[in-house]
Amino acid sequence: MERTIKFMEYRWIGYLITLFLFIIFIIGTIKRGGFNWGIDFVGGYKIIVKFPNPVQLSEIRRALENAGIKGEVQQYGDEINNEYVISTRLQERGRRDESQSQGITVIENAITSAFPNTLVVGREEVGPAIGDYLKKSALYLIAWCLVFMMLYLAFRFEFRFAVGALVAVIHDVLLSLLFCGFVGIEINIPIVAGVLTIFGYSINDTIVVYDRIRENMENMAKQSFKEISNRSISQTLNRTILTTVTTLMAVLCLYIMGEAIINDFALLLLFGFTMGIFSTVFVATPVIYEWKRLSKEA
Amino acid sequence: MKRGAVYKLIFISAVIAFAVILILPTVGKRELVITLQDGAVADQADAIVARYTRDGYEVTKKSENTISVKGYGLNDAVMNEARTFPGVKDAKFVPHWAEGKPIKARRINLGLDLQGGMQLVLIPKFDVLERRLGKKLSESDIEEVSQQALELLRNRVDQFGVSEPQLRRRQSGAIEIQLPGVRDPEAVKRLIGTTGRVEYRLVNDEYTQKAEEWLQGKTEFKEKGLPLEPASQRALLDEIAKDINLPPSLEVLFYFERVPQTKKLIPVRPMVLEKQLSLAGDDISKAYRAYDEYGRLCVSFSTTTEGAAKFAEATSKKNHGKRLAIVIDNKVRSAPSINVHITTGHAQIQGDFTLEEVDTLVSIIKEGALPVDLERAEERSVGPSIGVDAMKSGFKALGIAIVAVCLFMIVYYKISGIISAFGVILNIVFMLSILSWLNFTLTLPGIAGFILTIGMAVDANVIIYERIKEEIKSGKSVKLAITSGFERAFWTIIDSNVTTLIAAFILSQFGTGPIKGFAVTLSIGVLTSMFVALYITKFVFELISMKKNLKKLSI
Repeated sequence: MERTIKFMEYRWIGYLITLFLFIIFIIGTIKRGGFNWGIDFVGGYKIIVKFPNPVQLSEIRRALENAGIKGEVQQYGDEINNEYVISTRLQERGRRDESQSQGITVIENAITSAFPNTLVVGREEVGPAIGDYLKKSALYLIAWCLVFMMLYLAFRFEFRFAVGALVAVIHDVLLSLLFCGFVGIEINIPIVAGVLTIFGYSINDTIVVYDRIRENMENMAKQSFKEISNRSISQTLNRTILTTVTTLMAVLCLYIMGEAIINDFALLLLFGFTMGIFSTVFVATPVIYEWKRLSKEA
Repeated sequence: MKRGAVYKLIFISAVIAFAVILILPTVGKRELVITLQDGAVADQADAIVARYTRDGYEVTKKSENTISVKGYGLNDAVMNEARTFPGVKDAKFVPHWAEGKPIKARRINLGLDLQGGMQLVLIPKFDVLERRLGKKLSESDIEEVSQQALELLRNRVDQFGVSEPQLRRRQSGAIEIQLPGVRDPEAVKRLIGTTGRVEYRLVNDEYTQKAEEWLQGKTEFKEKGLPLEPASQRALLDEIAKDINLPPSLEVLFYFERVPQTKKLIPVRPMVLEKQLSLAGDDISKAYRAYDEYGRLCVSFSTTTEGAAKFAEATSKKNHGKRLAIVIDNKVRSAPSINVHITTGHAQIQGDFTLEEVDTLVSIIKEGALPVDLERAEERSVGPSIGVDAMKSGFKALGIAIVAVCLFMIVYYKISGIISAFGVILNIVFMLSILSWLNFTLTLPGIAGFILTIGMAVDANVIIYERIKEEIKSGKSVKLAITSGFERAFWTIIDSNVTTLIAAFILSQFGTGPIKGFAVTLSIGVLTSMFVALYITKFVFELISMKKNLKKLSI
């Protein structure tokens, strides 16, 4: 027989880790002044420029300041490309007196007059209306995902399992969002997709363990739920680790090779997928266990 | 081999072969044929040849004024760029053989972030409209206005000389336009921003017939249809006007119809109209869908008080039997015959219309009556160099992920690992073939979805292999362990994948392009990986089990 690790006895460690992560992420996010919403959500302009010669970030910033533009500057892609992303947000929401195209040409002019022969290779402008819609629909999306998953799980397993999975998934989604706030990842559309992927991955992982618990509940009917849980998690541990390794390997490739936008996306997935297995062991299963304990079934 | 296994083998081979054929138009070589204008100079042709030879394509001069460019990685942006070169009349791709009958394969398009281009999201200015109408717009009004704006944009978008433009309705009345390979975003914005011009003009049947006869005499148009490029359309119209000696009071335009499948507007025949307007667009006050006395769908409309007099004049006896053309942005879109003298300012356009045709016509008439101003809500343009860079690093990451995951599986599971590596490759082939078949637009997030799926696809294999290992450890024979391993893993895989599918499916309903792209690749990846793991991989193991006295399994 294989070794059974007593996960349920160690669940307090898991709770502490969760608490600790929530606290430092929330503090970190507040310290940074809240979430870093991208122009996809708050509206604004973004241009990608290619300079003919190498430039310093500070020089670009100075050029923008001289033109009275508040903006963020970031390197884009490889250093040798001399490409930078400059983005500004609409300062006041809903202000429409200044025509949008004016806004973007002001930035372009500021750059091209300070650095002649600079090429604008990409342009984005997003009005404020789009952002509000996006925020709303992103929330709707998550809500619908949760409802349908609960339904499927309640149908395939016990209702308590559906609740356990729900708590685990919300745990992962919240922590992933806070992680973005903590490290200052700009929240844009790809990042929302990333969060939803974590959602799917985390639940996938939880199901594999639940599936084994369900099976063992038949085979080990005499044993307590605690033992069944420990046994099931231990049995599937190998698979959990292997799958995570292969998936994280793929994400790591994205992180190392990817473009600037994909980099943040990959970093988020690296964190979220790790949380996915953590929550399976230390959130999803303990929720059912605590529930059974409270209702004196365990 | 048992008979059942033979059938399975045939089935699997057929599926794989079909999948490979489906992806040929996407990954195979493409051929771009560039046609030069009649007056093109040899220098211009040489410049084009030199340009594509330098880019590493196979270039051959097919005849005096056609150049063929063959190679991998040719996309719509390249084609649209080719059309802007001096001396070029047209540039078109030669369809791949798999795109023809009977397979009718399609290809994966590249998103604007990978090939460069421009995306615009426009929202009709509802507040301006509300002020003009003096009432709040209801949900269905918004729907109608946005339909009207979409019709206007469809009418207009092919003037940019861009092939494969995409127009889509988005949430709350917004309209999304994608134009791959646009060179001059400013020109596009200028043209998009203006409101539509709708006119009602009498048709001159005598000259219309002459123009049609003239065209009949030109066999080239019979075979290939009328030109789709706005510039060559204009040139052709001028040529017709000259050849049939059109009097200066008349003008020849094309009558446009919409291809139902692609929603593209194409010119179908010439039509000669009076230059004098019978009615202006704003002489009409309202238009709506109705039924005529025979119960057929028709368009009902009313004129303004001012318009009523003009309309009575236009429909007077002398014009009976003539047609009144409805023209928007110099495109004739409908030409109903005048049968009755109408003095009430209220009339119907009757015919054998489909619902869609009636709605289109209503939208056009309304656009004239109450022009909608459009506001740019979002604009994204990506230079071609940025696109190529993004694509290169995306595919590089994809390649490395495939190699890394396959190597890992082989090292860990040995021969069984080779089977799953083979599964990973098959999975990619299947994904590509389904995406090609869906005519999918691949974006950078889509590539990310691909990479992610590779990591997740081996999950099914891992679950199965770990289960088989467990069964072997618990003392079962190898054969029995394989069967029960697959059996037990089956529901685990289904349950876990269905939940991921739910998330991916809901994601794919999210309006915006990049998320959709990601979700679609993810959902398809989940489906194909289930098929590969639970059917094809299983079959390979069944073949292995057939070996007599199988004692050990390399797993």
